[in-house]
Amino acid sequence: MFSAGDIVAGLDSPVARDALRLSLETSLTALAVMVLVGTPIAYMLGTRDFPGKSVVVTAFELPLVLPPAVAGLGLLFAFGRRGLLGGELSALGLEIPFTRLAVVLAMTFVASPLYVRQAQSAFAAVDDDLLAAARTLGAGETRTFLRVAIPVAAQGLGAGAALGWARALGEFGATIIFAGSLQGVTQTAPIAIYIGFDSDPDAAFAVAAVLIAASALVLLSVKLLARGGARRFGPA
Amino acid sequence: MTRPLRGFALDVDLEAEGTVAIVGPSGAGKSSLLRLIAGLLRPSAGLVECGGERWFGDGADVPPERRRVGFVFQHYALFPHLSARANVAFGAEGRDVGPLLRRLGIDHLAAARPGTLSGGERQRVAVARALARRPRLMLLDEPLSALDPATRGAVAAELAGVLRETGLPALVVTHSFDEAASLSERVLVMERGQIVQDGPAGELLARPATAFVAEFAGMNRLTGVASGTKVLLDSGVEVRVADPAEGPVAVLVAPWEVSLSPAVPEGLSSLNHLEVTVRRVVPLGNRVRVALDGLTAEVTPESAARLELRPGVPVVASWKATASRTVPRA
Repeated sequence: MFSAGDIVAGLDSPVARDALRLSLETSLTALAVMVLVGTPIAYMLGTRDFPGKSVVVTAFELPLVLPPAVAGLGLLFAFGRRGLLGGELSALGLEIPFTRLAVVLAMTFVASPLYVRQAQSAFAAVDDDLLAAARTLGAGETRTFLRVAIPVAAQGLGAGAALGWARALGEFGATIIFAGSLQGVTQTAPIAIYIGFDSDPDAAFAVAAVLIAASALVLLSVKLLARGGARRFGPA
Repeated sequence: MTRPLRGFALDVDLEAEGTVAIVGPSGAGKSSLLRLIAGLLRPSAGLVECGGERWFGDGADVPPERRRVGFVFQHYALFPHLSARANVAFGAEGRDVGPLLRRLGIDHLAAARPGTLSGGERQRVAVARALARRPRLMLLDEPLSALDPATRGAVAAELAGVLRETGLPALVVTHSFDEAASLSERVLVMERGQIVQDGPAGELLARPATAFVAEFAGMNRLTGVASGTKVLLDSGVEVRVADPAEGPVAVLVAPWEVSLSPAVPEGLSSLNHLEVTVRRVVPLGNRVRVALDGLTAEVTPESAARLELRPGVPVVASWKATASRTVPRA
């Protein structure tokens, strides 16, 4: 059995610390990318109808059901040196696979559908008349989105971001194939657990304990957000 | 302007000055009309102009945010995340909204969130928010329907006053005759996307153009088949009417044109008679409303007492042929 002391000792190992720092930084970067890019997309999907919408929605949801290892192969196929965009990227001096950027890309690819789906339904639940009212009050599309749609959908967006971040933090399969396992560069916390399970069990269990705490925190904040949402605006 | 709707097309030609009440059965296109003017819906063809400015038509299509309309939504659509003051200030382009809050008597609610306000308070915030935009036209979609019936009358009078003060043209959609009459001199009736009547409220009562207008104004509507000035009612009784017609019709009679007596009066052949039973007796101020089988009469309290009207009592309802109107029925 492991005691609290073992966990603290395990966290002393450079492998554990590097992995946790890397995971925190890359997952937060991935979160920023999915929120910045995913929110306007989710708004379009949630509030507008256009031909081919279901095709677009399906394409966005594909990474949700794709086995992560397949997603990793797909990313290699797209961004690898001999991949679809490999030539263009090397011409720009960019090499993505087995870098920190690859970790962020893998996380974003796998986790963003979770956020976009949640955000889309949060926007779809916003009363159309609120958006129409903003327009008649002189707000263009952008101001309506920023000042009405986002604040009104805030809880749903927050819950989606929490779930997306947790998924990014736990990303394993796509990352290990597309980014590898280089300590301090691409060895994220879940990968460090897998590697350390043989070589350094103390570090592995310490990292696992931190991930458990983080997951519990995310779940708790999602529940609190959902409850706060019901209370925040009072009766309609 | 024209816009296809489910089952029919909205086709309206309207010029407005002052307050105009728009009434009609649900699905008549009243809300669509307001949304077309505000730019929230796009007509397939037509012209929308305000104060000489082209908003839609001949290649123009001004987006809603540049049309300067004050729109009051049916459920007010107040922003739930903003205080009453911030709601009003949303479209005010930085102008001080204090005077407007005071004018509508909501300055003490400035810090409150819409979720904590009563229906009447929310309505005033919505009207203030629309006015803060400095609109050139007010569009109000059933502004009273979310209120409880007890306060509706007072709020209607207040709203009529506020709209009159602004001097702005206003289109107000409503679904009750009393509301329409208290909000505006001019009442416009829409049915299936068309304007079927447009005139003072009193004219709707005196000369309803369709069966809906009559019913809406509280008139009796008896269905039957006409042959000249005689109509054989569905109940089997034949009545005389002033306007000759052929085929299926509705005979319209105002409740105050219907008199009640204990038996068929003799020697008055110009009268129509129906033998009916009293169902309900409701005093309404200085009148008594008597619900009969398929018919409503309004009599004085004195005659109600003299006839000993109460549920179950058989009476004869009579009216002059000249007091009725005949409209064709689909």
